[in-house]
Amino acid sequence: MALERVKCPICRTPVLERAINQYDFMPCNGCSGLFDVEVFPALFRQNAPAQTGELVVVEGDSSCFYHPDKKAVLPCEGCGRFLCALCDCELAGAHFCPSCLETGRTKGKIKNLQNQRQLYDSIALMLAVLPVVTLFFWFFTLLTAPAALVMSIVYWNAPTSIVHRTKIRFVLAMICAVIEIGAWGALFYFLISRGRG
Amino acid sequence: MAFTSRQSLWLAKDHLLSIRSNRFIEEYRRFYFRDIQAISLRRTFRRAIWNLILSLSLLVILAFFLSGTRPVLSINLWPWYVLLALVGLPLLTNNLRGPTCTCYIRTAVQMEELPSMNRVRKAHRILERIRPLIAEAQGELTAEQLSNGMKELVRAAAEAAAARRFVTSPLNPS
Repeated sequence: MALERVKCPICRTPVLERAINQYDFMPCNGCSGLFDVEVFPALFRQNAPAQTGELVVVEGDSSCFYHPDKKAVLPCEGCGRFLCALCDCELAGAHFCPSCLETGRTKGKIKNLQNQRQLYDSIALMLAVLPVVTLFFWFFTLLTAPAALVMSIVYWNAPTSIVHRTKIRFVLAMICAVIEIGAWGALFYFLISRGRG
Repeated sequence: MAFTSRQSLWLAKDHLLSIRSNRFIEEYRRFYFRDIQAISLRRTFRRAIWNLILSLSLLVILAFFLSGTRPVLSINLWPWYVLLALVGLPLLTNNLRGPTCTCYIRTAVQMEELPSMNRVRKAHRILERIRPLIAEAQGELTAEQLSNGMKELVRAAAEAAAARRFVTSPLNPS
């Protein structure tokens, strides 16, 4: 989408200059829908040509780990290997080599590269609470309560939401699960003792 | 968009974080201030549609409620009050929150909708907050820069269209 005009998101008609940065809704030329467009300098910025890395000219100069003929410009913040301008991947002010970037993405070590997370606390709470709330499926708690308890313990330290979130859901799930397991235990004890008596 | 899905927008040091959640999985999209090219708001009729639906529902409930000979204020009529509140409160909230819109954010590689910015007032409030941060990352855009930039974009678009025409013309027209 290099150097492309701003268009109406609905009818794709290019927006005229007089409708831009007016901080008010203006009618679209194509569909007459009201829209307010604000543009920023990045729209007119030409992409800089990619850096290829400077060649090592003086013997003894530090060279790139991946390209021994190219001059190192900085170390990777993940593994410490020297990198040339070509191998330098900048992310939120930090510099990584492609290998560390890939490892960080797959293992979830670099927070800014994560684009999905499982919310185990919500799953555990839902397992513990949903069968009881729905009333008709309360007997599922025989399975879901232990599952919720195990999940809360196993994933206690697993990362939850990327934004601040407390452990309250895990705690509530554990409390509900323990109560449900206790209730099942009491019911079985009652049935067994009644059967013997 | 599933019924149970939620969207939210968070402000980080150097980017906006849009979160879509179905309560069990969260998906993240980051829009760095240095990369944001444009933000567009488009007015929608969602408020009017909801007003119509909720008003009609409220009218039907009121018609049934007032059709009987019973007194209007009575503790025994609590199911009616609950029903009226269930329709009346969303109607009130829908109007208090103001006109609706859809918000699109554009970067060099994508044009994404931000579902959490769905009310004009809220969207303007968010824009007021992020505008200085974008300016800090990219610099201010003067009227002259905008004018020159737009001319450049028009010229680039014309060149691209001419190139397309050239490529798609027949090799040996007879």
